[in-house]
Amino acid sequence: MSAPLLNVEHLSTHFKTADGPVKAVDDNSFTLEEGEVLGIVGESGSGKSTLLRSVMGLIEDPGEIVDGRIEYRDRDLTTMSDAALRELRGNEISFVFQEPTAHLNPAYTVGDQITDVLAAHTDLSSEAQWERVYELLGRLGIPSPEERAESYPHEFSGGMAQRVCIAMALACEPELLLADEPTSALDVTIQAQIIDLLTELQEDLGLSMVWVTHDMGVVAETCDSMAVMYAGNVVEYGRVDAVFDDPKHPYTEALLRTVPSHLDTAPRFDTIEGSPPDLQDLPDGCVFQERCPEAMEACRTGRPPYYEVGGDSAWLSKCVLHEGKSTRPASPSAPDADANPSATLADSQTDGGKPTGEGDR
Amino acid sequence: MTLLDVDGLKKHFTVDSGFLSGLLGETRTLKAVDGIDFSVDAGEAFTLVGESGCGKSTAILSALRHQQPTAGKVRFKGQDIEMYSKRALRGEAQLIYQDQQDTLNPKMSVGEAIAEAIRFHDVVPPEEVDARVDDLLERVGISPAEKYQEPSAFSGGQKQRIAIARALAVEPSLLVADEPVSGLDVSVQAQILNRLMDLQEEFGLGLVYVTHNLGIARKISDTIGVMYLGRIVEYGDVDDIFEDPQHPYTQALLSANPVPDPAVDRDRIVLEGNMPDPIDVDDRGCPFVPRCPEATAECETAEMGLKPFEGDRGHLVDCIHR
Repeated sequence: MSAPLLNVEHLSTHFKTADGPVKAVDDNSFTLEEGEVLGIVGESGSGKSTLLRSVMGLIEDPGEIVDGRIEYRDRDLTTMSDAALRELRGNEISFVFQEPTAHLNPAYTVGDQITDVLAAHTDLSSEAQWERVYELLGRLGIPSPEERAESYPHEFSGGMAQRVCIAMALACEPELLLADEPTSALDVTIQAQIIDLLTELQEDLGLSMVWVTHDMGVVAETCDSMAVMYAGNVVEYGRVDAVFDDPKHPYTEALLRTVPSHLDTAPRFDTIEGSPPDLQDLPDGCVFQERCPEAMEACRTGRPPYYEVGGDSAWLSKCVLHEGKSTRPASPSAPDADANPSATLADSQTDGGKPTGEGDR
Repeated sequence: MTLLDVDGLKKHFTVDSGFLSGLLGETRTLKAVDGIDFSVDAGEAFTLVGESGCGKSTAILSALRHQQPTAGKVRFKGQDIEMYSKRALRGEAQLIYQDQQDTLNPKMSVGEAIAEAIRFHDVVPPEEVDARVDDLLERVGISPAEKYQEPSAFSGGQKQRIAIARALAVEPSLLVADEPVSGLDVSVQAQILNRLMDLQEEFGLGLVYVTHNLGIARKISDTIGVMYLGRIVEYGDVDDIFEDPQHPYTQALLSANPVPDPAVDRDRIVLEGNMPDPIDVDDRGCPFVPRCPEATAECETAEMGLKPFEGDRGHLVDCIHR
């Protein structure tokens, strides 16, 4: 297999507060292969949006990427200058957000907003820019594009406004589309339209995509690989079919059981008792230990490393049940794991990625 | 026993369409709820399912006289609901909303909020109120030791549990819940809904549930009504409808809902366009025509109304092609 388009290694993004760092994203690894769709799935507050924003280079003070690498086509985005990142964003990497109208300027027509993007990133003449706008809006299923280009954002319904945002994101023919809950604000029948559209565009244009969602149904229907987040940690990463079929982390298993499906006829919902830990006061050891049916003594000391599970070096689980399997090597820049990070939390460095000594794969 | 019996309920709003049309005396009517029927028995869970703007919340608010309906008859325990005093009706039918932020007094401890409801409706003698509060909190999974805290000390999920305890405090015969868990994460949702179903069974309560979430509707309901543009387009036993939906809208809605299982191969029916604004909807014909894959010329003028599907009086469909 060729090198992945996006390779995230041991990424940690913390937010500084007076009471110590909030570890919103804590030692996370995953990859995205060219032309594929990766789902990042988790409950609210699990850090999935912060993870995506870290990849976008959109973390602002008091947030900071404190550790790890984000390799995009062999360039490390964490060390790139702001100017170079800006050039990349909009050109090669672009975004779609949950609330389309919050990301469109209400004072300009959508055509003006899309031509702005084209003017900033391409050499197209004004005439060619407008041709491209009509082509994009038409491609996204917006009826009479030449008229609709003259409309303002408020004149579009939620589903139509999201189409406009996708058109804008695709204006410069990006390689990578990062989407943060792009269908979560939409009704089921409209969500189905946008899912179909994104899937079709992704296939036609050979786009690679990261799709952040809380909806396991969306992951099952749209993604090739998935990263499951809990309390700032991607606790499992693997192929969608494999993970759904035989989850290798107790949280993934519990989450899959809990999701209400309209095809499920059991009389009651499966539950995960308790609630997620405070990101400012994470337990020593595994973040899921307090709710985990499999928890044992080994879970209480030291954050588990990524074990390579299921006989696949690209299927990772942060769970000591897999102890003895090879582990993904710790980040070169990570300090030796601190076995007791919860005492003061004054240390803003990551406590994850504990090297186990058997780390070559 | 039939608790709530709703017949031909309508709720229309007059829309202000601007200065000029005001001068010309033109008014436009928004038909949020346009003639719906349903009933709920003691111990039965009925769910109104639909997408945003279909009128499902307005339907229950007008059925229970939180809003004055435009037309229709509502009976509660066999008696015209107009005959009930507000206090008597609230003692029988309790509402739980999506956002408890708006319904729990931020300055009052949660124990006091529940006690107040018990005292207002004279549920138990004064000396037993405290014990009743503790019992209710325990039943919803909140430690009675926490009753002295104000709402801000609790998470969203806990507030929703407290709201359920307060609703049960008056010993209602009917519970009405409008998307009570839609702001919560799935693991928290599951805990609360299981608790709600247990309590509903234990007390033999009638339940009217309102949601857009089909996974929740499947589990919580005995019967459902699928709403589109102010009308119930399909009504019946939840399993009958989910396993063999008849109305083209129900079919599309169920097929469009993502299933959390990549091994399930599904044929999705993707509807075009949006649900239109319920303004100036033509009284004639089927309101689903513009998006319906099966629409014919006949549908535009046909006399609409729920009819038994294949003679089954428990499964009603509002489509002339069925």
